[in-house]
Amino acid sequence: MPDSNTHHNVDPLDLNLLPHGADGIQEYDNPMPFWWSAIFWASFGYALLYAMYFMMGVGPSVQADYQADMGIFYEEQFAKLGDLQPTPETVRGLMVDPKMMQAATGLFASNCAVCHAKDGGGGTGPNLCDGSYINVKSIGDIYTVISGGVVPRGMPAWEKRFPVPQRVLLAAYVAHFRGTTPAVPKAPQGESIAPWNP
Amino acid sequence: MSQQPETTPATLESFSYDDDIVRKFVFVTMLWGVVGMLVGVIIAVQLTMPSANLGEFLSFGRLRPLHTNAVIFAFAGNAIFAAVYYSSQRLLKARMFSDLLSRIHFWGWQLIIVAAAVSLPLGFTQGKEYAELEWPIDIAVVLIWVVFAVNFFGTIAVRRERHLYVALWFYIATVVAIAVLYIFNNLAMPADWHRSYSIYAGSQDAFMQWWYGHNAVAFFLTTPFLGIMYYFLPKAAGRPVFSYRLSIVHFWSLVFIYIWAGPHHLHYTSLPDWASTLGMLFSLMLWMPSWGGMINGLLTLRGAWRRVAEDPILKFFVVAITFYGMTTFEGPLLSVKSVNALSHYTDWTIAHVHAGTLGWVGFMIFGMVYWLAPRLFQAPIAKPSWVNLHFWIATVGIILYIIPIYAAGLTQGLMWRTFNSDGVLQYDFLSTVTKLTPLYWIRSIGGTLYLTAALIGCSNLLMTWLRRPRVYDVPVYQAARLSKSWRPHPSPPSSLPPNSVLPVGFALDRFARLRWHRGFEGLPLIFIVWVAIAIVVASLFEIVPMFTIRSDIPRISTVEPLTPLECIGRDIYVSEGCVNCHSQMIRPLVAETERYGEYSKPGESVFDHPFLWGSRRIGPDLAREGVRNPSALWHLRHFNNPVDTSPGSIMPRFAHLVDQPIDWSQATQAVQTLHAIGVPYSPETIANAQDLAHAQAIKVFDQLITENGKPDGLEDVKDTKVLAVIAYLQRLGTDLNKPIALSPAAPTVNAPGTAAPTGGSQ
Repeated sequence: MPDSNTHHNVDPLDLNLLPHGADGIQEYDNPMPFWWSAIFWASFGYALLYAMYFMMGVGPSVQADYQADMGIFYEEQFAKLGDLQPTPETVRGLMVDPKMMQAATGLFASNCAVCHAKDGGGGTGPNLCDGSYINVKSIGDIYTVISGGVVPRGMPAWEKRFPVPQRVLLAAYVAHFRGTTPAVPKAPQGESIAPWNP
Repeated sequence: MSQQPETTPATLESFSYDDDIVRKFVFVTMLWGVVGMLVGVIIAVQLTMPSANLGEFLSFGRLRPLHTNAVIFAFAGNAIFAAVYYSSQRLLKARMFSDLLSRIHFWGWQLIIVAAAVSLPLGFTQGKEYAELEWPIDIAVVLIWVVFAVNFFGTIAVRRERHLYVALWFYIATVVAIAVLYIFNNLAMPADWHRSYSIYAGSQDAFMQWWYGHNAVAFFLTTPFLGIMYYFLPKAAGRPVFSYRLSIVHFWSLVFIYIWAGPHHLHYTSLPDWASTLGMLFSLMLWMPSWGGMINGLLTLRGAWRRVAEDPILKFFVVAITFYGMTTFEGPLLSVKSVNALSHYTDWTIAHVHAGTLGWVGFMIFGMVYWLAPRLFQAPIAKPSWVNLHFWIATVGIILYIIPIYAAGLTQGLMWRTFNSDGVLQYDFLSTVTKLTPLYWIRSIGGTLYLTAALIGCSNLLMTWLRRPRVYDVPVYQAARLSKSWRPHPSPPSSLPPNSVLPVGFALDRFARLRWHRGFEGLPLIFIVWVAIAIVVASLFEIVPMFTIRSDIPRISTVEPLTPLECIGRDIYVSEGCVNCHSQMIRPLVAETERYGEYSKPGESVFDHPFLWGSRRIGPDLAREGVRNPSALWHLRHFNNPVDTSPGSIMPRFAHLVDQPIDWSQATQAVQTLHAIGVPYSPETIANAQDLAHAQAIKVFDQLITENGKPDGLEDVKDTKVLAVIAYLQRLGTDLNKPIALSPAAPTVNAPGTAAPTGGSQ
């Protein structure tokens, strides 16, 4: 307090008591605390600099930031998944690779499990474990169905959502369900087809 | 200045104060407070236990607006009126301008509250947060607010105290700002007596909504309560206010800066970058103006801290002001874009709001009511020890409420953005919801404690009221009339040494010393005009560019208005309050587009009256639901019983949608009304709206049968509301990448600025 050592017996604040009052309420006229004024003005200064940087085209826009982040994200993912091609051989290779199947779990749980159940047992969508398929005749068709969907029957097309390697991974994950035992299996739909492996 | 006699004692006038109206408002404050808190506890429990959604009228989507409207407009609103009516009369040395207007104000406001309490569960809503009430009630709100304004300004006009005390400045800001905000955000085109469409669409509607929404916090839950603080705290503490100068600076900066801050509710959305940046920066600049109020409150207690330990009323005030300080620090923090990227759509916002409302607003109200009770009922508080009990139970309640909800917000926000080592999102949405259940239980207990404490308070007040005298004593006061010839003293000259600075320096010095403000306080009309200018000009700085810069909202040629059936579906979506739990706005953040798909573009919501971007994701975002999940059968099963398709889901059942038939006339009503506010429907669409709706409903029904493989069990679904909602959901987000209709042979063309995700191998 600037005036703390002026009068020892009087509350230094009382020196600033204003002569007016309203309904018995009185007011001091103490100065604003220094730190208060400092931050008050500093926030204006900061705002001005920030506004100049971002609103005059120097700093990146939210969209530009996102495009950059997305670039890095795909680069990293590409480095991990590699250049997966949508061929039956790739799918067959992936479905027996436990590390890759582990990687696909989250992708399937977030996007497919609402209709097919996390363990592939089916729900609104068909059971993926029972060897019977509606639109799949061979292992290569899984990728096609995931990409283009069967929209009139409720299966979305994922080609706009996920790049090729992720869809190949998903196809392998779907293929790997075949022959497993889900908790609540839905009755088979479509036709029973030949096993995956030649 | 005020010592100077303005008139001779011969012209003294006698008057008394109208405390009856204050007693009325105090009574309903507590009554509606308990009701609003009870609904809060019910919806908190519903989030832990979906079976607590008791049918159509009492499900979360309809009760949540009832909770917010009840606690804001009924609990806080009536408390504000009680405070204004009690303190203004005394600060102005005048009875309220008109006893009749006071009564119209009181009964009108209570009728509005009853109308809200009935209409919201019935599903009559505009679909905008804290602005849910439909247009007939909106008109009533405006009329009653005008009655209040006339009564309040009238009292100022007939006052016998020359200068307006700081509490009155804050009341003035409230009365002026709420009128402006409420009217302009609620402009809507009625389609029916209980259904209307906001005249603004998409980004512009979002902007208007949060200009209003944030300033409802500012001018309904902040400025009037600062007024309450400035009157009741020095009264209760018996100490002078810490700094008059600080009052002036923080009042004007608060009034001018608050208005700009609304867009911080819309970071990373389709709102233009500049608006979002302004929202953030003005929120940061708001930190000290808000803390000016906190400092003035806490430092007023210098020399009175011993009394705080003894007096539960002061305890309520101290905790309230502390929460105000915390919340107004957290607010600027949350408005920083990168922090907001994490906090937005999560419970962090809910925790922030409840620290403000349970802590600041609630405790100011309780402190004020306990201070008023013995004075209004002219009897000592019946159970003084219960006041302390109320304080402690409520404090524990707040802590048990906010800590788990902060934890829930951070948990969910972090889970949403977690990628596993393979670059795949670690958690599906549902697992981020079920994770929160234990925290939601603790929150429900916290809320119940707060409600219990309020009930203890109510019984105490009731017992105090029972001890009232048979006839209230109405003291008569005397004061002189104000002289009409009064002019403010010129502010004292600058004390800088002569010739030390340029003339402009002397002027600035005089301005900075703020002595001129005293004269200003004696001229209410000019004061009110300046408050209105500050609020309106600050608003226009953002509103004008928002509505004139066309390049901010690039049109996308493939985005078309909804079909008549989808309009009906959307009406149902609004009426069921789906927007309370589901956003429709995917932000350009990697974790978000990986989960939901391409981020939302401004051009996608140009026909959205009102915008339905939402503010909280209790359920997943639905902006691309039509792309992500076009299955009609899935939606049918999910509406009928969400756990059938999504085990562990906390969504209420919407079985009534499968029972109730579509009202086909709604299709014509919707397209006609939307056409009137600028949605380009062709005359053919309007003329054939019902047939078009019917045809599409049959298509959805056929899809259900195809998906199901057989029509068995689906007979009852024909022509029911659920088909309209499914049609609407199947449409969501699909326009962006659909082929341009003109040339069927043309390949799919992406809208400008969109980029379909491209993998390394594409």
